[in-house]
Amino acid sequence: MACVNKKAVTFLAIAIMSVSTAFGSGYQLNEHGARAVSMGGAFVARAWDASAIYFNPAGLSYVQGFNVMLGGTLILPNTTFTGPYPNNTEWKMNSISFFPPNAYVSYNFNNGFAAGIGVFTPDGLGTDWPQNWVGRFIITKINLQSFNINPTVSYAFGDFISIGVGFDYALGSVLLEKYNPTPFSDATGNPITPFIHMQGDANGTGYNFGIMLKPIKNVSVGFSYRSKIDFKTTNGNATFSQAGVLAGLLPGGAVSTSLPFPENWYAGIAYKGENYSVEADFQHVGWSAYRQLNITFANHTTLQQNSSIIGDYSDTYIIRAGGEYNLDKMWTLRAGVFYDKNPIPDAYDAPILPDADRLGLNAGVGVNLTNHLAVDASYMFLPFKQRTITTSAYGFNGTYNTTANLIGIDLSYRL
Amino acid sequence: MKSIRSNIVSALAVGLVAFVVASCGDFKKSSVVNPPSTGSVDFSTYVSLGNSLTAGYQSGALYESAQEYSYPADIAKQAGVTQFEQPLISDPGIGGRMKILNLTGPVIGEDPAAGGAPLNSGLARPYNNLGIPGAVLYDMLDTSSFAAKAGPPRNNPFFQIVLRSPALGSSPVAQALALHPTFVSVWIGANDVLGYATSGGTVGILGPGSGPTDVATFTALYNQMMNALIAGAPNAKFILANIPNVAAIPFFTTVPAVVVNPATQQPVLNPQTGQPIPLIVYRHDASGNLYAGPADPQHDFILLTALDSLEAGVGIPTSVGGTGRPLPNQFVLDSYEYGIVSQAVQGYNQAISAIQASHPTKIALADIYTALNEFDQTGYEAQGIDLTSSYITGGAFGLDGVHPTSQGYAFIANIFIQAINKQFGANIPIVPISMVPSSIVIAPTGLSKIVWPEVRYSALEPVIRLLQARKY
Repeated sequence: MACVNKKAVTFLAIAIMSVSTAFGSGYQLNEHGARAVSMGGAFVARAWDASAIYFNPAGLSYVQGFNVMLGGTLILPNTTFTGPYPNNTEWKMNSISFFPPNAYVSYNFNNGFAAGIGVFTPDGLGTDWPQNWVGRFIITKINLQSFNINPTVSYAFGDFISIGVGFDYALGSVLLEKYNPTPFSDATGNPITPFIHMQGDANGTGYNFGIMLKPIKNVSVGFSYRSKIDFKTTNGNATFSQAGVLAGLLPGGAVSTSLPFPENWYAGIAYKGENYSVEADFQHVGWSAYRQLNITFANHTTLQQNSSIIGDYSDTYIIRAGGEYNLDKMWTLRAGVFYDKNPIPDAYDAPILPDADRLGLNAGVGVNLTNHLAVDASYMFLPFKQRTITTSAYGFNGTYNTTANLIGIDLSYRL
Repeated sequence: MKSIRSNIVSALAVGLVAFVVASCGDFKKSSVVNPPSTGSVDFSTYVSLGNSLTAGYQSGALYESAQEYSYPADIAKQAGVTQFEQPLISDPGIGGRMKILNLTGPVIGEDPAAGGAPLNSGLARPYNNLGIPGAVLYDMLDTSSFAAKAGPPRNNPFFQIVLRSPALGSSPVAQALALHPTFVSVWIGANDVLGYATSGGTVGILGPGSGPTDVATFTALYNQMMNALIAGAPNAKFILANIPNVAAIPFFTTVPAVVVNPATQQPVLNPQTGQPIPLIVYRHDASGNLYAGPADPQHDFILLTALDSLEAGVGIPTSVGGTGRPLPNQFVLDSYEYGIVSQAVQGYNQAISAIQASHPTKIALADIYTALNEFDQTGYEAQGIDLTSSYITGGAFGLDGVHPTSQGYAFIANIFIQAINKQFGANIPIVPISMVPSSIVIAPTGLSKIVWPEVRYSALEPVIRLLQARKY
């Protein structure tokens, strides 16, 4: 066991370095286990592996023995902006890839109690546009990195009902870069456009709980809640460069910001047959928590002033359906779909985080390599609705197109 | 059992495929807008006629790095025109380019009046951009000597620089027609009223004491010009731009007509009434009689040129530490004079609209009057840049307070492009303003604090003179 844990630590250290993206609507990530992902994320009523820690802690009591699950999702997005409207010029986001990891450990005490700890990335965001692009005064780069540490306990009252509860500690960092417009040029006609780089570590806390019921034979019902987390910077710092003669007015220095990770609740119903199971879920995302991101400087000058990135998000939802089919003792096939409604109003849909309603098409496979070792793999194709903005608050109208491919893998060891 | 289950799986698979196919309409990438097109306009030879605004004059001078972003150059670039020659003048240009020396003391200075020299004066044909700083409507058909206009009373070197030789055409219109244009933009007439307005109503189109070009003369001259252009280029398309409202331009709107505390930049309030204290100015009463008295803060415009005098205490009542001497008439466009200006602008714009309306398939109208009024009210947010009509900080007008910056000219170009697109079924891309450099020159000295900008009269004087009075 020591060996597995050591690997886990190394793996996490590497993976966390590259965490960031936004592949649920807004800046939320919903990929926290290859098995769940390959079934469209419909898992709250069947959270019967160690990833229950994320999906529904009540499910932990039905996971037997000692379990370790390690994996992650490789996210390969592709985003273009065509505009500014009515222009037809296409701007392509820099090619980026992300690998948010997940790691779960659980132990069942065989008296109804189970306990576990999970590490995963429920929120993250990464956009990276060319330095000279048409929207450089809005954003060139934003990077929200986070991972949550989530100790969890659960208790099952027989086979009929179980409950689970967890504590959520989120830590990570926030980075933002953009150019600032000024009316000025130097004597040789080069425009003065100071570049700002802001970066800081951040953290926040929250909690989660879940319930799972088996009211009749073959049917299970799940409900799971994760609270909002206020993710606050602790040691943010801003530096300006390329400010020319304005450098004296842009000293930078300490800066603070905070943004909410929205609350979520999931409700689902599942049917389990002899060698298959299917499930349908509804997920509510409390995006109305994100009104604006305030950037507050410690030092102010005529030019260095606090600013805010307005979001005015709305609460939104995701509908999920999926199932799995056990071919034999070794092989399980899985498929699922989901529809993810985006929370961002047209006026604030900006290249900071271009968003749109998206459709997730999922497939995957589970392989029991030995009695103790299993591998789950998932593939997701995630097309976004083409979104044309004509009422941008940034004077930045145009059309966004995004598709993403997500490849997930998890290794489970059970004893 | 087995076959039933595979049927279920197959049914699920078919359902999934059907769902994907049904969703494809929304999710597949389609062409976003119509491809660029010039519609019924042939852009093979584009010629622009006009004054300093057409030339790309900026912050008191005509210079290459500003001319590169003149609105005709913008239109040409967006429409895919490859041959668009301008009378480029090396930086810092001719006219005395204004620049910010320091944001703390006296802030604005200027480069030498003849700091630059023409770069392609050997071009063996007329320029495509025939915008001549200081030109009035009358000049468009005037065949008198270009060189003579460089001497008194006009002292305007730009006719000679832009038009060069009568052999290329004896007037701006003649040179335009010599190029056999397929498309012509015309934005002329602003100086017919701006000379009067920027001199506080003291120097009109016929010299001191006269007013703006009268509307009847303007209408006749404009029709004459357009008849000549249409007759000379019968297959060409045209776009005409109208004349902006001076009340939308920072030269007229920056300096308040009340006493301002230089330290706080807030109006000084009368301790008895709690109201701001009006400046003492020379102004006209409703019947046009000049007298010295308090300004009407709601309706009088104090010009940018007044800053020197105000600093010396002129126009400021003795009760608040001024000299009590009235601000001279040349620094005030009072409500009576503004009435004369407005009437002229309305009349000119009616004449321009009437010509456009009588040739709707041939002529488009760029309604700059309306666009700049709206801009003055709301500003314009473009790709994260917030342009407003505020002096210096607004980013749209240069240091002379009259002429746009490169980004301001891009805004103007987009008004033209949108009018062309609408009238001629074209789809010319607009200029993304974030791709146009900001252009108010700031001298390379350290800046620690921005205070109220101070503009020396001597820096603005050449611009005022350029806009003024031609005896023809």
